[in-house]
Amino acid sequence: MRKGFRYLFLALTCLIVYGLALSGTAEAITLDSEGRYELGGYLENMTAMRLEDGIKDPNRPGEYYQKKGDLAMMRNVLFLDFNAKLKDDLQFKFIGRGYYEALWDLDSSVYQPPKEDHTRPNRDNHKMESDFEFREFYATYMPGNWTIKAGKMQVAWGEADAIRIADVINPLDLSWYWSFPKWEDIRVPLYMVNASYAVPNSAHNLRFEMVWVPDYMSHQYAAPGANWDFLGLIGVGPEFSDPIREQQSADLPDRGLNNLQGGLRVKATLWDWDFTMFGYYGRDHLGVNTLDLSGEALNSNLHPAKWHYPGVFHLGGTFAGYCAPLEVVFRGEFAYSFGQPFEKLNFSPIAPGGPTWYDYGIGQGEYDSKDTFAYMLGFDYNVMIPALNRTKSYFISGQFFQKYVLNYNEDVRLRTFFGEQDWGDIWTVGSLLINTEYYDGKIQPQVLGVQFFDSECGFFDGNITYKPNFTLSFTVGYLAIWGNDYNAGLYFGPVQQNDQVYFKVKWTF
Amino acid sequence: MKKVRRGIALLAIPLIVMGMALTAAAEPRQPIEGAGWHYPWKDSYATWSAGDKGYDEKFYNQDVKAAYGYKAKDVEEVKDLLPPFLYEILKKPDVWGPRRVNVTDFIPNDGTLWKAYQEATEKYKGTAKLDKDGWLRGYQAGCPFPDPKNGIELLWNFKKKFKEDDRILGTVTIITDRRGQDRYQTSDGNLIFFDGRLAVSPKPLYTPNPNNYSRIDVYANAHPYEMQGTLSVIMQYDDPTKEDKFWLYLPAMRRVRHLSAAQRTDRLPGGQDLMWENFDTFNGNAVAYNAKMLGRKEMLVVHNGYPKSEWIEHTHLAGPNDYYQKVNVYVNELTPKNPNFPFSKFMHYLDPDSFNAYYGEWYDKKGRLYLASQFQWVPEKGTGVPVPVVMNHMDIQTVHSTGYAVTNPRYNVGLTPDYFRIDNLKKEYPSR
Repeated sequence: MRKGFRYLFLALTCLIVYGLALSGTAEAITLDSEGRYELGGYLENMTAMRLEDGIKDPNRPGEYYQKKGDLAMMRNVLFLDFNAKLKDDLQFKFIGRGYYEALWDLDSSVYQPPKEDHTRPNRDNHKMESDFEFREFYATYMPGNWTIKAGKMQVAWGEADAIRIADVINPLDLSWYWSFPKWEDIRVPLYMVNASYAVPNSAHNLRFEMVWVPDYMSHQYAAPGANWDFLGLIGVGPEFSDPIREQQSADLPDRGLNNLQGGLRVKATLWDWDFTMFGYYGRDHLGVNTLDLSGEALNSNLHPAKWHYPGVFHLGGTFAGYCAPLEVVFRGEFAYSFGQPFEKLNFSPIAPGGPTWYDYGIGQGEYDSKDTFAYMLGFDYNVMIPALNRTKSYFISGQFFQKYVLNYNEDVRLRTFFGEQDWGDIWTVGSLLINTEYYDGKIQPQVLGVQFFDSECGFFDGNITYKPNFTLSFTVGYLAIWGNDYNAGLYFGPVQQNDQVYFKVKWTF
Repeated sequence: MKKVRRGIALLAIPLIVMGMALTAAAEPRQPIEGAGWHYPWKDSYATWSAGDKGYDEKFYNQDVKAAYGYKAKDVEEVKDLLPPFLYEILKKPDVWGPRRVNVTDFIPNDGTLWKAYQEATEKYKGTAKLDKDGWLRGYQAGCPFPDPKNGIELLWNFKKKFKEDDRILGTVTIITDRRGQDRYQTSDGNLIFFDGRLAVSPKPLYTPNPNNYSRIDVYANAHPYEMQGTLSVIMQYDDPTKEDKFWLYLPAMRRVRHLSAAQRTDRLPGGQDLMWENFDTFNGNAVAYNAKMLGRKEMLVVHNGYPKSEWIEHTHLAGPNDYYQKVNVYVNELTPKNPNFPFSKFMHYLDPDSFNAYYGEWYDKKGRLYLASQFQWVPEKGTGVPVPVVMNHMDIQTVHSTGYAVTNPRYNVGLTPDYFRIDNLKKEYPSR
């Protein structure tokens, strides 16, 4: 398909969405007059254009799988949210999402193999080009002061935005944009039972919550060679990254009733501030690999390693409340994690004088487990500046994160993803979000910046959304990601070559 | 005898003619084309409902003695009986849309709870006092100052007005811009009061009340989809030093966010003309304002209006063709003590018996009329509790308005503080 044709496709997509929005009444589909059965959702097109070259083509020096000016994305999403309130205390929820990524069809100059490929690891993977899944489906039974949910779902704990400390239950789907989608869009739902009990007539709004997760998934990654394949972006070509991902898949822990993951959270209001304490035991979502020369690896030549996803116990708490003298909402969270696994970096040469195991991302024969401590302190401040905006205040939200690997031994370098070269023991991150609304909420500008100080990486996302009505929105934005020469930093350093401008159109019903 | 008969005839004829003339003047309300219930979605708000108790039949068809405004008499004739903003709106139907004042007889307050309110006023007379800061102490029920002597007493009468103990109030929100574009939201606005309770035990004070609440509100959004399942909860305290507490459950975030109480003058999401400070026309902290009672003024207000909420698509303000009555209202002027507050003063027009508000006007820092509110009331059947079947908030300067049309009001249903907890609210209002 001709490259220029993409603009026509984009125009047609926008026309269809706009036409839907304007044709007749935009409405949630209510199947009964009492509103007990309701279907809502949205149709969305997200189109992005690259502002820099992407993954280097290992077979053609000087060439790239994705070049500046190429489409970085044209993802068309159908999101369906169905709720059935069968009885006053019994509900069912189904959330389905389908997508068609038109990037490869519209732009033949982009590296094509990912089009027919799927996300990694292989369990519960999704096709890169198009797929549909029931992301969440669960029953909610609410007898008295109990709320019991069972099914496939996502549960969010914590007070932090953009970075996760207490939000430890669901892994993430990192196979497509993850800097600006809502966490809801990229959390991987898991089968679980989530029960809570609100103590009646409690002066402190005491609430207990239990989560039991007989399911496991690691984070999910893009197919080799795709835009957000960060193994490719740090120079690991498809022929090397595939064995890594396959081994990751093969070593995933089984899901089942005997897979003990779960936790407890207690919530209370004290002095008008909300506090939670939580404990959660779950397997690591990232995993670590160790050198395995026994020949049992799936591809002992290219990735002689075994992957491990050991359990980690997180003990932590959160707080949030309004400080009247300062007119600021303060929020924070902390977590002490027992036994977080880290690869021991292996600088031994594979062959005398040749590259090292480190160069291939393979750790030593065993991994290390360290306790870590992380905290976040954040503020939300609204300031009315009548000269600039008479009807809406500016929302300014800042966060400061730190995480420490405790008892770190400098002599044994661990792949912590902290520091300049990913082997530091302290992680310091700051974020700042500012937004407001103009013209009766129809114009909504927002800027968000996140900086990982030790890893020298981060991103900036600035956008303006135009909402002519409550069902249609257009967003135009600019995403810049940066990192250092070592591509350090777990999430953003490796994908720094993905600067882009983007356009979104969304129609809700 | 003939002279007597002639005399009677001479007297009777003019009386009959006058009677006929008066009868002819009292006629049914003339419809305004396009006024109706134009809810765009097919759900539980699709059909207007009078609620669990409904309204007395007499309110639906009241005899109109005179009509002013759109396709009726010149509003100049009643200019002095209207607040400035409403006069402007009635004078400019090309800008604000058709609107008519149908003058009908004032129907006095009645009902079981109105009697209970009066009895409580008598029973607790003199027990509620203002402290040195102007905060009301010792209040239990009824009107704290039946004969208000100053602005602060009048303000507290408004805050302890004749009202429900709790409610579940369905509303369709119509946001209209100066080009006539409508945007719709639907939500339930539910609340509980912790004092002045007349109907539901515990009363007159809700006990136990360890957190010293005076009121809890929740706004549960149903439409549009992007707001569906969003729950805004606001707690107010019987404590002048304690800021209101706001929190918001956002389905997309799957968690609760605390909001800053400093957002009191932020317009509500979606471009509404309402801010937390002017909920119920005025919702400010009583000690944050200087109050000056300006006296009484006869005005045309909607005391016993038309029960069915109506609006005209693509025009401003709900309740365009309501019944109005002459009431000698109290006028209160409130000026913020904080010099940085974005408004210079607030004018409040209150019913002299129930102390509910009919009109509110906010003036900007330059003293120009900026925002205005109009509440249109109908007493609930049996109890007499006023239901604001139409609430309008408007930005006079930018010609922008938000009308709230009430459907299916349920008053005094026995809500408790636990009702407002997130788990329970998600039970009532399915969310993610």
